Amino acid sequence: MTDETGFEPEKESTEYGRIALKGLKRTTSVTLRTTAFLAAVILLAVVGAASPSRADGVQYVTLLYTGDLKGDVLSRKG
Amino acid sequence: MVNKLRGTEANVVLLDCGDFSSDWGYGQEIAAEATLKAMNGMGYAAAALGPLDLALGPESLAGLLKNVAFPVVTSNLVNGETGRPFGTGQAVFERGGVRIGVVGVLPGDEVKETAPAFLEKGLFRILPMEEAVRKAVGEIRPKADVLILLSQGTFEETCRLVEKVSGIDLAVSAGVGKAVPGAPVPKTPVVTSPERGNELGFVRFKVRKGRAMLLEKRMIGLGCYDPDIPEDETVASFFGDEFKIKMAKARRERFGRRERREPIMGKEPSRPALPAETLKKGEGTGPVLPGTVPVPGKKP
Repeated sequence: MTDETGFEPEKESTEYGRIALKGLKRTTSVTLRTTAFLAAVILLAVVGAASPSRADGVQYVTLLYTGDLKGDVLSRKG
Repeated sequence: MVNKLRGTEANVVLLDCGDFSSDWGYGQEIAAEATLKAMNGMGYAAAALGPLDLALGPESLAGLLKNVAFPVVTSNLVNGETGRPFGTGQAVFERGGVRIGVVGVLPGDEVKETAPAFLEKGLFRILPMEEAVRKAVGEIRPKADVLILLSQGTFEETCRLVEKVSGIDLAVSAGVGKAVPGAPVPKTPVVTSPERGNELGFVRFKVRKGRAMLLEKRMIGLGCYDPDIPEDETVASFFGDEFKIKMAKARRERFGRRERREPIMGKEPSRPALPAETLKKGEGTGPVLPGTVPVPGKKP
């Protein structure tokens, strides 16, 4: 069935719907990929920060030093 | 305390700056032996020697050091004939992939005064500190990421040493003196060693591509009778009853039975025996407070 302009209104709206749906799917896919990429980057940054002793060849050393030790205090240090 | 820090800090290295022998005037060898056993148990990585340790004499000290599980660094105390260092000279070891070098030096004048037996008949020689440190640093700097100098020299002497000899990351001075406000500060950090073992020095380094950067330095209080610091049973066992009996015997031999009445190892003084005729009913019992020892014929 056509209107006075010669088009079929239902067919036209379905076509537009399909195009919109296709666009939506593409946008969603791009968004998901971007989110996954950003999440991976953030995760790597967090893991790197949590283990500084290995990140970028950086290591930490803690030096403890005593002096003039006298026997009666030693047992408290062990 | 050390064990606690080992659980929370990365790559802990425990060092001693020397003078682990007592200066009580008696039982030095007994105390040094127990202290060295305890230091073995605590996992010391290296130690330097102080004049009090040398006062034990070459034979006695060498005998004690045979049972020590860590290197004893004395870069400028060398054999009079062979030139080989007494002890290890200098040491390099590894913690978690970081190479740590330790150099130790003693001032010659103090050794002459407190331990003349070492220098008699040319048995040992004390090299000038700067010469010995320069040589030792030159040898181990390429093998170490962090280089520590344990100096028995005064604070001023140690500052001068690190200004003249490059390549040292931190110096610990066990001699007299400390940083004076306004005085010129050397590029290399110099810290003072704790006195009478009542503190623990704490330093944290960041190491990257073989270069060390000092991040933090502070002292941790180790009040001997502080209840917040739990006693380590293994280490305490070296200072148990057997040790106290040996020390009491050495004290009696040195001073005689009634010469000294100071408490031993924090114990209360024992009450002196009073002649029976001077005691009235009820006297002579109960705790004795310091300074309230009753004197016969005198009202308390």
